[in-house]
Amino acid sequence: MKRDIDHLVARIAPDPGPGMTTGARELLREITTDAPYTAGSVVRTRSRLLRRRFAVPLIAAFAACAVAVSWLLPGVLGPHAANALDIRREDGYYVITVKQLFADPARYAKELRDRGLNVSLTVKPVSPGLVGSVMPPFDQRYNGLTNEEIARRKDLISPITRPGGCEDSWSCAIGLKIPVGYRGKASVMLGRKGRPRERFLAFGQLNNLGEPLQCEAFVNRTVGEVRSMLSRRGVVIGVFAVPLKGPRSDVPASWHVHEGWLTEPGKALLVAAPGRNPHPWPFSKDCPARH
Amino acid sequence: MGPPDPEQRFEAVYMAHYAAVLSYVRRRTDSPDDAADAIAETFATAWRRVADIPDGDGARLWLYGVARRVLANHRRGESRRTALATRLRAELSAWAEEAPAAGRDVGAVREAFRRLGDDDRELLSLVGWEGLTPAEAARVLGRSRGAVRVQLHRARKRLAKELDSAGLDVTRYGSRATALVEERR
Repeated sequence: MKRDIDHLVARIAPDPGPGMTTGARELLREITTDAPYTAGSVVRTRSRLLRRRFAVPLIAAFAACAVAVSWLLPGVLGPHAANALDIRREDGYYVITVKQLFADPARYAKELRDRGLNVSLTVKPVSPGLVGSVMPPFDQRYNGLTNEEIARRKDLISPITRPGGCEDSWSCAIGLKIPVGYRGKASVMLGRKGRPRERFLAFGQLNNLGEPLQCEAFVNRTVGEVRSMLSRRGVVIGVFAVPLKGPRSDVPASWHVHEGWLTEPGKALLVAAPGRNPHPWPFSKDCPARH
Repeated sequence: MGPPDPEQRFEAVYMAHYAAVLSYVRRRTDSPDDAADAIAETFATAWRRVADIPDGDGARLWLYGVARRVLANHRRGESRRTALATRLRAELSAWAEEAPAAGRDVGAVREAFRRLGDDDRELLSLVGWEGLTPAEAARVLGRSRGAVRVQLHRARKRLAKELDSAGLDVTRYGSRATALVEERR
């Protein structure tokens, strides 16, 4: 009976969920960024973390189709040389794009405040494929909504995607649309290039456009092969994550790589295991079709 | 290669165990928002206590233990919506919409399972869903191995009784496992 019962219980196990997703990787960065590690302890408290209902940290965008987007769209949105942002009013929205990616954050704040917008902009290091992107989420009220529902809502901050469209509007935004009269308070992060030893606050898959293994197949290759591929581009493996086992400083070269990201300039994290990844992350849609 | 720094270690722990924690939480919550909150709080707690996370597979059991306490607090009405995991909520909502309906027999077994007490369900789930041994389940629950073995034996008997009351023959199910699996797909 013992085995039958355990077997029966196993058979009614609810679906395990989607596994590691873009949102899951964002959460990782949200957590570590919200409470940085300092001298043996993490300083912020749970209550503070949970109280931040509106000061959304808006951290990582892990791009399925990361694109290098220029924030500088000269002439398109009516340049005002002194402004770090271009803010135009159109059809009940403020349409905001960033003209100067490396401006003093205080300038962004002032220009937004002058329009009565309670939105803060910060600029943080991101992996190469995400430089110039604006990091979602943009509005706390996205919570619980599907992408389709978000697209229908008119009272939320929404992203402006790069010209030519994008399959995943979350990860290739180049600006924001904020409803006129928006009463919320939001904070938005812009991605900049990282300096040596600076940890990225957002990172795209290693073979996204702009990343070290751009459009190259590396998932389900052996650790040895991927190590060589990375090494040729000056990238070392900082740590391995082994599913269900934990971090490892090294694993056998014959193991298979399941996923990988650049976590700081020249340093990658690889998810690796003895077996192959049955559900490999799809190639960026911006890569040429593979045959 | 030296030992990873705390952030690097947490990153790797997260990448290695996220899917397991997601499954644990999702299987024990009804709404995607609740699941996202509990996952966020579990890993936020783990990050604050990164020095306490055991090495190796012990980390997974430790994370289950944290998630279990988080869910217990939520059930006591102590949960609050976090500002974290906004995209994760949308993903879990979309995933829930796609979940397939279960077959009739599976539904009957689930009903019998739901009639058990919380402690019985949790222990049977740790063994049946997470695939833990009684010793590992004891670590998650913070109880002695002996006590957990006894409780597990009793929980199995109670489920068998519920199934019997519902007119389901347990012994026949062993041989019908394949059919049940097919039915779930």
